[in-house]
Amino acid sequence: MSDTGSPIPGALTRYRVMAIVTGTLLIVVFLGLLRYLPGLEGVKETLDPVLEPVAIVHGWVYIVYLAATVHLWMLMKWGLGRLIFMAAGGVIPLLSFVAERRVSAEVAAAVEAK
Amino acid sequence: MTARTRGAILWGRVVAAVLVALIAVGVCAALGWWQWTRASSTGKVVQPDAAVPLAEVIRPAEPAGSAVGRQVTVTGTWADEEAAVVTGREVDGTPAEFLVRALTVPADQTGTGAEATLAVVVGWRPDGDPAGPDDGPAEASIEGYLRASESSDASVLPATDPADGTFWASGMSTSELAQVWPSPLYGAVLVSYEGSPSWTPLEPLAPTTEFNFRSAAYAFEWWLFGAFALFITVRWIRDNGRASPAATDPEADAAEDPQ
Repeated sequence: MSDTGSPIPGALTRYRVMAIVTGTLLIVVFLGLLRYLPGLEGVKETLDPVLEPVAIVHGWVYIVYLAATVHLWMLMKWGLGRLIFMAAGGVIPLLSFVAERRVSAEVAAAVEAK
Repeated sequence: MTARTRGAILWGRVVAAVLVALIAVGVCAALGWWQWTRASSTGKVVQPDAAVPLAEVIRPAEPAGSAVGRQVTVTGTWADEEAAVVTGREVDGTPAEFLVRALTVPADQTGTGAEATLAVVVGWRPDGDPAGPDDGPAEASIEGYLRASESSDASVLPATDPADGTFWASGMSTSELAQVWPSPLYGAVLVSYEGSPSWTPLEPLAPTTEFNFRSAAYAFEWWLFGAFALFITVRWIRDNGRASPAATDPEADAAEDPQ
């Protein structure tokens, strides 16, 4: 598997990049939800024009993240549970960073073992 | 025999996977539809611009262009011309006819320095109950909104005689009216809010609801997620829907099979 023809390193890189981008956007979106707290109407007015597009962008970036995730998942022939774990990384804050580290370590171990 | 080479189909798994996929696709489709309906209903409500003097939005004998849908005010005199009665209309489900009169806009209000004729929809009456324009002062101060001229089709005119002081018109067509009324004519038609004793004014310009692009984007995303769930299910069934040919264990197969 460590030969140059393997598509796995490329797929892993794409997955990692998307995991970091999606995770970062998700944190922004989640912190942005604070603006809906009572008493912060003034802040909400100011931040809405910035944060609403971020939320929309996160939705589309998440779709790209899913595509990268599925590609790596199919190459590694993992089980369904792993796919759900990786997909959840794009919607549960901070999980994508945990998932990204674990997935990277496991792919490295699997490539090493071959 | 095929069971040995390709493995038996594990119907229990396949049916379960199809059920899960149906639920997932159904949920995604429903959420997408919900967002799609929100897109057309929760957009910003935009009130029409306040009325401005006619000359600010349109000049006589020019294309209506962006003047259509603008609210305007104009003061002029009813021209001593026959009015048009447009038949074959419908107002709230009632067959209706519209009265369109010629208003002479004085030179100081056209913006061109010469007077011009504006087609004004005074109001509507139920079809088959003809009436002419009401008598009243020649001077008229009108607020209303501009609508585009229609195409004309002379073949659909009624066979009956029009009411006194009117002629039949097939549409609110400025090119058709220009053959009867003095030039230059405005390229748009003013729908008056005033009405007259015999003619009920048409509904004022309604506020418009902007399309909510964020909800529409969410709708598409939900549908994409549904397609994604379908794709994963198809792959999962392909990979797991048959017993492994290497371990052809009849008992394990039977355990997976609901029959």
